[in-house]
Amino acid sequence: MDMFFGLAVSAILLGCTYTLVAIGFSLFFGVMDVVVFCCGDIAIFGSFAIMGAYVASQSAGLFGILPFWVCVILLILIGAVFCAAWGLITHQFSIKPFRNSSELMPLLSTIAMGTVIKEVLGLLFKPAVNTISTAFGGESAVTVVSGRNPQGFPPLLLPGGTTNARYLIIIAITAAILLLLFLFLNKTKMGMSMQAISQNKELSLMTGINVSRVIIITFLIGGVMLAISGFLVGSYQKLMSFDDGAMYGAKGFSAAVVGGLRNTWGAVVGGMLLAFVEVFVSGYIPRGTAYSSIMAFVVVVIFIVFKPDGIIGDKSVEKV
Amino acid sequence: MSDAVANVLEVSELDTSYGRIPMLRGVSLNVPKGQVCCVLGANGAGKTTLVKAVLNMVKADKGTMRLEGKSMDSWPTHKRVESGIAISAAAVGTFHKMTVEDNLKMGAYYIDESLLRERLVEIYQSFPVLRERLKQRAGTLSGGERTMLAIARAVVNKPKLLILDEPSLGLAPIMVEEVFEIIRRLRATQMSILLVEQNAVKALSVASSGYVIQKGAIVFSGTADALGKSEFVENPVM
Repeated sequence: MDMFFGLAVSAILLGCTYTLVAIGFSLFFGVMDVVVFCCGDIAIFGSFAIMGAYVASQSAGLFGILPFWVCVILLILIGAVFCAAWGLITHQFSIKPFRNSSELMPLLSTIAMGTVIKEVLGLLFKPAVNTISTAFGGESAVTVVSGRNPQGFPPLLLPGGTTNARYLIIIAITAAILLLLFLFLNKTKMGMSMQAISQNKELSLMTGINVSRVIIITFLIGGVMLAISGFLVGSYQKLMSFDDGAMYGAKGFSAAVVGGLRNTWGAVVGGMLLAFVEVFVSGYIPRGTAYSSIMAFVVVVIFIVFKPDGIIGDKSVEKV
Repeated sequence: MSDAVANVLEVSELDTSYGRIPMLRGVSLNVPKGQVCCVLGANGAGKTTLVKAVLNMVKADKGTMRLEGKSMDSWPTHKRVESGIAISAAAVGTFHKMTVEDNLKMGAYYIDESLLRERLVEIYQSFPVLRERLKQRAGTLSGGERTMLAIARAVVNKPKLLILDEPSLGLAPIMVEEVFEIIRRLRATQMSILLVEQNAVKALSVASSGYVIQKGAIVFSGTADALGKSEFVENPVM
């Protein structure tokens, strides 16, 4: 039974990190009808930005001047600014120019944007390169990239506390963000406008919603959320690699699909389901760790085949 | 009174195109203040394109548009709505996952909370069907109720110009009757209405002037009486 609870906690933690990325997907999909494939990369960029800012502020001696928690909040804000900027850049350069073209175009261009983000990180945090000598000796003709040069994420989350306390805080932060998001979407005019655009774009224009402004704000908010998810991923994983974004993106997208794209709560349920499958497969099946991600994607395939609308999908097809 | 003030909406020499295919050609139209003006036309004649061009949802290639005498050519869609044009288009539907009440609130995007509450009370009086369904999702309404909601959503703003795009679309005869009863009531409040319809007989029963649009061009304009006696209405194949 102890093992069960341990696994459940790990699953919830993993689910928290997936959920936030998945919400990023469903927010963007809601207002743009486009799957923004670089969500995972933006989140990882956020955690690297926090990492970089940490190193910079340490050498500047900032931690000696300000209280620790103020520094942490400042670092997260820096990450949020970077991610919001990437969100905006993604919208301006890889989505907006393709408004009137086939919907496959933004699909490709956001994947390309993800590659750009990943390679920028790769340049800044260079993978280790080994050279091997040729059979004839002398100058090496081939370079081999060995290892992904993972970076240690700074211990910003409760460095003095126990692991369990740290986990509790990750869950609490996620819950707080979900609550804020819920209030924002349902109680503010901007949030209601986002929902309106997601449900009926033409009618949103007709009711006088400034659609292009709402879209830009959605990308800013989505970026901030991805930054926080990057912070949580870093605090949870401790080691980050520049190309982690692809996997997080794939998992986040899968969670969004399983839950039902467009639906924020679907993203939560989908993220948790995926994480539970992964963690329990690696916990209970011998040598399951190797198959955990595979099983998670099998779940996605099952959903696509049998329930393409997702768990909390949009079942009410409007009669005309 | 000058001409500019007598008309709520003035469209002159409007051209639009879809890609390289011309849609509207030289459309000119006036909606007089406090009256119902109808635009009749068959499917694909360009009625909805005209409506969307008035809201700048379809870009005009040429031509000018004025709202109460003010040129609105450079205004984006949301500015036109904010300035007092409201549209109810049956074919566009509702925010189906929101409640009826939230749908109405979205219609009142530009008015503040206290004014909105007053307006909603008025709306519930004129649309009793909606009051019973306030907390219900709009997607679960019947076709007739949805049309009522679309009209109510547009009039919450008390617009200077109300555009009704085919309000009778897909409705049972008894519901069509009810919708036109509402149009009559709105007309009694001196609201300026541009009514775009296929149902010529019904439209002419409420309108005081009208236009006929065919293949993207206006082929008739005049009073409702003259229009009723013209070949376009007597010969139903337009």
